Amino acid sequence: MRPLNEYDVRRGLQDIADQAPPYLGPPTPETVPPASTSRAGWLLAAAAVVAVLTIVPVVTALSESTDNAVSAEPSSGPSTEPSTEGSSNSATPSASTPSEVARTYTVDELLEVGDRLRPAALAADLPSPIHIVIREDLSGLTLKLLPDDIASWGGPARLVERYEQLVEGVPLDVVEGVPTSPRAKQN
Amino acid sequence: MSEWSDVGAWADSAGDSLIRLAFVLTNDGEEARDVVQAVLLKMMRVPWESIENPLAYARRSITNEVASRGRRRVKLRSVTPKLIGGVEATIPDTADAVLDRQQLMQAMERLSVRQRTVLVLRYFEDLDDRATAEILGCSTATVRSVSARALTKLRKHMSTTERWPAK
Repeated sequence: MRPLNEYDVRRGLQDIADQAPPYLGPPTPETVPPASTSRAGWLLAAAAVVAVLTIVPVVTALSESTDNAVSAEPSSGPSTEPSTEGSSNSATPSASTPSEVARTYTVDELLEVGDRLRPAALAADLPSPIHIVIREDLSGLTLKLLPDDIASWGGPARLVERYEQLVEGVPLDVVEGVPTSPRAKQN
Repeated sequence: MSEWSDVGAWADSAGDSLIRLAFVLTNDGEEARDVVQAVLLKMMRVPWESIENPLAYARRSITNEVASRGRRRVKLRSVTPKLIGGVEATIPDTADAVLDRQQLMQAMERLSVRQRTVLVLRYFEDLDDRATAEILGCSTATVRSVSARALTKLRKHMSTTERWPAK
């Protein structure tokens, strides 16, 4: 009988490794867990408050202006989905949509995108927007970020590209913004 | 921050070797997967261009991750014959050529995390003392001494069987 030698250890470890499970693929943005539950909880709560404070007044104003535009001037107003609540418009998208706008979204759709954007940005280590504003023509969202955040990412175009990956191609643009509350400043 | 695609593409080719390394350190399939996922997530959060040697980076991260999980002992499972298609499979080890896996696993269980990591990096990953020292953040002399002690401990434990007598 011979004593255990380095070769034995090498072979033994290889044998053990052969029992390893297969690699199933890298984590995806959707499966990225938050770094810390408590920290993420606070950030999500803060994000929700900011979202409500910024989006709701804009949506209210937009809803009113859209209704007015549709009823008063169907040919020049933004197109809306036929099933949009409260709008009895008869305008068709082909007649009223400006040629440069690829498609328009309902307010609900954009609200839902805005809701998803912040946690997805946090999970992907992207800066969280200070404000998320629905575009007047309902063609997408405008994200307001701190100038430092924009600069550190090499400009708005780079950020737009990353954010759009998180929201499945909904058109976005990034502009500089200023925090309006202490909590937003912390973000 | 790295592009998902950068890390993902690299991990497609390196993933299995990372899992194997994590598995040898933890001897737990689920734990090994968790460790590798955690490491890949960390890699996704740093600029890909800043990672000079992804494999070295991943090895270091895996050893750190295993150590930070506070595993003072390897969670070794006893090796039981695997049932494949309802038939008990046997592993055709040749008597002197292949180390008995079960004995080695039991012996590895008695090592500290540091000792186990040194042995794995040296004899599984085939790293030299310098590369092992860099990963562990210690001197090459420490690596040699830890390795020698670990081997002695392994031999001592395995000498309890007739197959691997102490020298």
